[in-house]
Amino acid sequence: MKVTRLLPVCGAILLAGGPALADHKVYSPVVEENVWELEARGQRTIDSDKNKDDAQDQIYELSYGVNSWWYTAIFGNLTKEPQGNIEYSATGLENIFQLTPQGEYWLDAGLYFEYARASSRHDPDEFEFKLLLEKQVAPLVLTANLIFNRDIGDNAGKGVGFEYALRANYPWKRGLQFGIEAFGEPGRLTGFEPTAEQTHSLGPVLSGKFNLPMIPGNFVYEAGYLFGLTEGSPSGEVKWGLEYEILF
Amino acid sequence: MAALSANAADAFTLTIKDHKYDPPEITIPAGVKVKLVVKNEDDTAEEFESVELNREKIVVGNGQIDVFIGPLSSGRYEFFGDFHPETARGHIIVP
Repeated sequence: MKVTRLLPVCGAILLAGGPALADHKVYSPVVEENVWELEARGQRTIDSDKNKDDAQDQIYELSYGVNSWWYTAIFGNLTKEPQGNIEYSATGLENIFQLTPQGEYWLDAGLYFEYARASSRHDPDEFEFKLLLEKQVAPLVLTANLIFNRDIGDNAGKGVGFEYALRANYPWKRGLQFGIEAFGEPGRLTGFEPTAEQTHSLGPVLSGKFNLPMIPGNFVYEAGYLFGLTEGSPSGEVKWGLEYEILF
Repeated sequence: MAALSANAADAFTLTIKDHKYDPPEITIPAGVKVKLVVKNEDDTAEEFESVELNREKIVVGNGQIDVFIGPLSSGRYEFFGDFHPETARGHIIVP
């Protein structure tokens, strides 16, 4: 193959940039004041095609609700490409600003800002902005994240990427809530990828809160399975999360 | 203490004392947004929480918070204090 024919392929890889698999978490705009959280979460893809199987993304995060409208966090990101090894890929800072007191207006809204510094100097850093929206339509809580990201630095892809994260949650019990979540990456705002090449996934997610004897604070868990909706998506994806939260 | 009942647009005050909610029952009208003012008269923090109402908010010792709820349809909605769930319990009645 001629070098000129390789260039678009290399360009596509660079455009993809960042982790092999996006962080599939739905963020509420609601901030919990004075609460420290230690969180581990991740995903792993499942597919018969070895080029899409066993991609992983793991986040380990420490966060704090500074006041009633500002939440800040620092995290480490581990990623694994299909057929690759798991590696530390980025360190990041994230902040959520709650714009409206929960329930006061028709819609709850917040803003999310993240900067992730790539651990390899060959990879670009990433800036990410999310518009966080939430609406209670009893008995469901509906949450939508509109996500915009941009690579920064060496080998940065051009343009602004667009993603979404959606959730409909039925809070049945404190210890068990039923949700349906959807995630998608249509592509850059300057031109979405052909539908078959976009990644979209949808599936059930269970979550809840529990306590352990003799340990102050709460534990929050989530576990789910997402089904790929397009040819470009992995057939399935397991997602998990465990969080310890305590008041200080 | 007797249950509270009030009209639409009212703010309702809920007091936490000795890790209990007072009053333990509040009646609010259906289809109306309501503000709960939760005052914590204990020295320690509490978390106002309701799974059904999707509310979870810390109220520091000797502090107070506003919690907006509704509009709600008829029913009974439980709330509790996440740090003292054995004693800090109550419910909202929507007739």
